[in-house]
Formats: sequence, C-alpha cells, structure tokens
Amino acid sequence: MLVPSLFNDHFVNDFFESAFDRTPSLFHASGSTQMASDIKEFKDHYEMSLELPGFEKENVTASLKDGYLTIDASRKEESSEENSFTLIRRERFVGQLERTFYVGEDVKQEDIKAKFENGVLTVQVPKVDYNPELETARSIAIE
Amino acid sequence: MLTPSLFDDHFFDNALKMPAVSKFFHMNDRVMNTDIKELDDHYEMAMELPGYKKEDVKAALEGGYLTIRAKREEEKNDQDENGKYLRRERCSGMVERSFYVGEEVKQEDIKAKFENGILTIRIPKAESVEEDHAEERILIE
Repeated sequence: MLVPSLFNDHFVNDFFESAFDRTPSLFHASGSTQMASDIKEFKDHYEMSLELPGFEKENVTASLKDGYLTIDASRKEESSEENSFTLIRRERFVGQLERTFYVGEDVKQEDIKAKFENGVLTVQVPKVDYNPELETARSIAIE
Repeated sequence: MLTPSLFDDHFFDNALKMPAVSKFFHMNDRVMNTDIKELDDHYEMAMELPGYKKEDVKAALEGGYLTIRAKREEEKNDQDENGKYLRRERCSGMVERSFYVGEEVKQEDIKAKFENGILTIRIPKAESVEEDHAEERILIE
C-alpha cells in the first residue's frame, strides 16, 4: 500500500484525476470545485482554510480517523413551495460535501482547533511528528 | 449593439463560455457563484463570497448594470508569522461580476445584506408597478 503524504487529499484527487494521467497540469485545481482550500505551514502547526459559503455552523462537521481529517458539510435546498420562486440561475452547490485530508496518525482530535466564520472553516492542526533530525537526514548538504 | 437580456452576466459568461478562455482562467469560474431567484415582485441574488468581510464588498449600479466588487487583503501582518502555502485553491485579491438588471431599477430600491459569506441582493421588478395598474383595469371573473 502506498503511504499517503501529509495533506494528501485522497478522496477528491483520486476520484477526479484520471488514473492514467498522473502528470499534474499547471494551475491544476485539485478535482472538486467545492470546498476550495488553502493550506499553510507554520513552525508548529498547519492551518487549513476551507470555503463553505452559505453553510450553517451546525451543518459542518470535522472528524479525525486513522490519520485522516474529514470535513463534512451539507446545505439544504430552500423549498420553493413556501416562498413560490423560480430559480433562473443556479451556480451554487446544494447538498452534501465531503473532503478528506491525510494529517498523520499522531495527531489527536483534541489538539485540532476549528472555527467557522464568514463562510470559511479554519482548522489548525498541530505538528506532532516534527523531527528536526529527520529534516537534516533528508536534505543533502551542498557546500 | 445587442440588447442585453435580464441578468445577463456580460463579463464572466461571455468570456468563460469560450473553452480556451475558461481553461486559461480556470480559477475564475469558481468565484462568486450566484443563484438568482425570481419572486412575485422582485429578484433575489445570492452570491458566494467566502472569507470576505462586509466592508470589502461593494455593489454599484450604473447604466442598468449591477456590479459587485470584492477585495480581500492578503495577510501581511508579520513576515515571520506568515506561514508557507502548501496548497492554494482559494481566490485572493479582487473579484468582480456584473449583471444586467435593467435601466428602470433605481439604486435606492436595491437592498443588500452580507451574511455567512453570502451576499444577498434584492432587486425590485421594474414592471411590478405596471402590473398593479393592469390588475386594476382587467377583471376576470
């Protein structure tokens, strides 16, 4: 089995990218057009920002299992019978969204912090397996 | 000149319908996703602007076109504190989208609110006044 790399987005990438064409194209946006995410690396943690515009906080869940962080969000269709409207343009997503990121098996659920504001979910994942020696071992010193 | 149809999105749609252009500006086709509803006496637009603040979003009406502009400042607090991007999918900087809403619509009649990353705009139907008159005149029993 292949070992996933950190923050590898296994669901979306594998699902949408062709198995026969593994070469990433320039500016290729990984698969889903929903839940656009930025991931930033800081000294002691990673910060993820996921776009979930129009979603309610109570309909967004984040869970950690076997080193995979899964963000689940759902938005219901507004009933058109109540207000009697016709949708003349539809670009926004309705339904359930899910995106999974590999964050490493050493991360504990209680160490992950999340907040939801302005339609953006911000998740802070601590670096637990950060090992300066390993970094040195990997890099080749050029003199 | 072609007459624009109502809620024609002159900037984005025209450019992005051309496959070559939409491929090139790949990132653009996911910003400001908009739903437009038609109700009895008004239209309601809902635009996605996640991560933007209310003060960053501006809507202006000119020549029958409603233009929504939003600008998100790049975080530049402290260079050392700023993290390194490992993945970047979200749009930053300025986004703009225009819709034709008709020349009869007045700016003061358009209502907007920004909540949860969604800009909701209410535009009255210009012909709703005329419809009221019509109702007075024609009686169907």
